[in-house]
Amino acid sequence: MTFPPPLRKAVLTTHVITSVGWLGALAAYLALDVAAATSRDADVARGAYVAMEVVVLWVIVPLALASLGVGVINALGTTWGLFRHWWVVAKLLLTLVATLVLLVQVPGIESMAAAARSVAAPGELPGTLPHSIGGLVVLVVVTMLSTYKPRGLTRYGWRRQHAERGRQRGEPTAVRP
Amino acid sequence: MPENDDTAEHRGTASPPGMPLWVKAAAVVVGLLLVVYLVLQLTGLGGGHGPGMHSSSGLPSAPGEAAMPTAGR
Repeated sequence: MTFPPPLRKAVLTTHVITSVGWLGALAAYLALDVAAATSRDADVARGAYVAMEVVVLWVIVPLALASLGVGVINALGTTWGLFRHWWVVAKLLLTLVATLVLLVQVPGIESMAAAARSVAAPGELPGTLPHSIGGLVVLVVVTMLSTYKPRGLTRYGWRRQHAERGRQRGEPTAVRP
Repeated sequence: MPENDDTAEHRGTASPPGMPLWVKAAAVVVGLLLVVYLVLQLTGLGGGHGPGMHSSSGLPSAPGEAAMPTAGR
């Protein structure tokens, strides 16, 4: 199934907005994470942890889920498909891993924000720097995959392409979905 | 994503394509990172890093429970 051009552009625009928004929100989160870990001012560290919780719950998680969902719809609605090209498969796997790690981290971020409100030295809390840096690297790689689109058909993609060419030439085809 | 612009890929070939080099290289890098992560976990050099690292069990949660050191703050 391939979307008609107007729908395809609308879905693509939504996918770009949610994906780049996720990247930008994570960059803002990383700045808060660094402030929380390095600030000598307890109020700054406390505020940073509380802001991190708000940004994660109300911006990053919704954008991540929307980016993943719209990305799958976008792939299925174009000739790229979801499993025809290696770069799309790699992008899907990286996005899935990033989303799962994010969801696993959410309870810990909530706990740290709660602790930061009550402890005398919130700057001593462990923070989430390895995850925010790792997540940012993964999202940059995902963005690069989207723009560079390194070549490489999967076996499934090759079969689909072969079958479509055969169909265009009027040959009988049998392709497993 | 724009429309497919590399449909010339493997045009005319009768056999399925193999895995591209960049996919193999990425798989090796991911595998090495996983091995490093597992070694850090098993040896304890990772400082107990893992999904439960930020759980509330290791953090003071009650108001006024200022168990954290305050030196240098």
